[in-house]
Amino acid sequence: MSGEKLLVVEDEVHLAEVIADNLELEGYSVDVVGDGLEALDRIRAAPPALVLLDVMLPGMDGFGVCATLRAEKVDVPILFLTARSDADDRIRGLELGGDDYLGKPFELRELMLRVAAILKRAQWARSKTTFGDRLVLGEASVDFKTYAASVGGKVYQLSTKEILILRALAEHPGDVISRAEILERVWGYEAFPTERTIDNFIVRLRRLLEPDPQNPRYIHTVRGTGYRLTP
Amino acid sequence: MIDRRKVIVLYWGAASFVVALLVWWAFFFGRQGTLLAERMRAAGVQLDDHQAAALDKAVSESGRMFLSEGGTLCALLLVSMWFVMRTLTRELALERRQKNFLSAITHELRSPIASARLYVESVLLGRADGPKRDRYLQRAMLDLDRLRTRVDDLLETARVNSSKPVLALEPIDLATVARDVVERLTREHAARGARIELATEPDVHVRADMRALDTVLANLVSNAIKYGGKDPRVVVGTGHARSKALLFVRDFGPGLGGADPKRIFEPFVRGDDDDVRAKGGVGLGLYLVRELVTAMDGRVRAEDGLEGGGTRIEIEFARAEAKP
Repeated sequence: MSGEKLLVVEDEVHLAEVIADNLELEGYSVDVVGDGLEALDRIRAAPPALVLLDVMLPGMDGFGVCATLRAEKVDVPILFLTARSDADDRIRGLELGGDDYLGKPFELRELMLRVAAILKRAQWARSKTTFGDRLVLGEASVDFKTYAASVGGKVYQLSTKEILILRALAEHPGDVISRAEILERVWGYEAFPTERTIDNFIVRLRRLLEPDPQNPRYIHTVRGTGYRLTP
Repeated sequence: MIDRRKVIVLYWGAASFVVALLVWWAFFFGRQGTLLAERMRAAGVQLDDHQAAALDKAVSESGRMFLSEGGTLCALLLVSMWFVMRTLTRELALERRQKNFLSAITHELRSPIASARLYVESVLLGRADGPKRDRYLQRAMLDLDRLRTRVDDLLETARVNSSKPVLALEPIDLATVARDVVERLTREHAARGARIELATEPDVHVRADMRALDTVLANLVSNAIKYGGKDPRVVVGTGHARSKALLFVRDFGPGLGGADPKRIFEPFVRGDDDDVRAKGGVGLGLYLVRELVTAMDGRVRAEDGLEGGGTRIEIEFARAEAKP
């Protein structure tokens, strides 16, 4: 994981310096920018492995940067680092597509752990699946490279989260995968969404992939525990 | 708490209904005579000229009465609507400013704590040795100084707000205060490439409190440096105008960015453009300046859109005799 390129977007010079220094000590290669618009240009030109993004920034604020990137389908992992850490801001940041949120002031070790956890998740999402690139569920087939699902001649585009949930289930066919495990895999260890959120994703996946979503043949709920995929 | 916006919408709805009702009544009473005559004709009642004139007179008299009373009621209602709306709008604006203030103060206090903490933690964890260790500790000190200044500003504002400031007015030469503040701030802001120039006239004496005047001037100069653009240039001057003594601070930055020069002295008000927000600050500095200047019987005003760019803040005091 060492040597991965990180971008720190922080306009407080001291904070940017001490964060960048410490990340470099861990072996990452770190760039720093202090302006939201400049950050957007940098990320568009060469997406780093992770963006550590402040919220109150000149040019464009961190929420704006995150929303713009997600609207442009730039899937770079984002860790918000900000003094605005009340619940509303936290939820807003994560709803806009941030991967995690750390309120200032924070502990150095916690920052390092979170960075490593996000990178680990991102690496898992990028790595080759254990079951090949295609999952076939009866009439439906899902391509894990293009995120496309073909069902009865029609093609649907799945979101990153949908693909990752499906992947967490498909890597252990027949096994029960707990909601907590899915949260850990797809969202991170201090996950923001409730377990109910996963249920909503499962409902959407069933609607798309199951011949009869009310009586699923492939994606089963194991009451009180989690889900099981039986291809 | 009920959402004030809902209250405003409900109030507007109810008030508009009442005004519409009054307008309808006015229209209805205006047509009362014609309607009455039509109904009497339809019922086969024939009026002679004398009776018709008496009816017209009675109808127009009562119409005038309704119109004048209804009109007065309508005018009163409109005036009260205006007052209520003005109060509600002001309250909403204050609420918004206080929310901005809370968000800004959170940022302003937490940012230096966050960086000081990371510097010290890095040293404690053995992640910085030798010269790097020294640099980290120096940076942590600067962060703590920054934090102290902000806390001092907040406390000073709270003090000024909670009671009338206790001042010891004495004869002061404005040029002397200006020179002291400029010397001190030039040292403090040397690293930022700030240039602070003096343009003082001699013998501009006022009656003021030395400590308050120092706070006022230091706040204005720091503000001018902060918003003075890259390599900021600031001019601090004194002079006379009519019977008044003047003290001014001028920067050559981008100016107020459309903000109302009168409103910038109100608490929690900060410019809206990104650059101003990015500079940090909680919108109390200029408020503190105004409160202290007012307490010393002075007046402060801001001028924007100057030739050569920037903003000029001018303080006016009554002239006083030199210290005997």
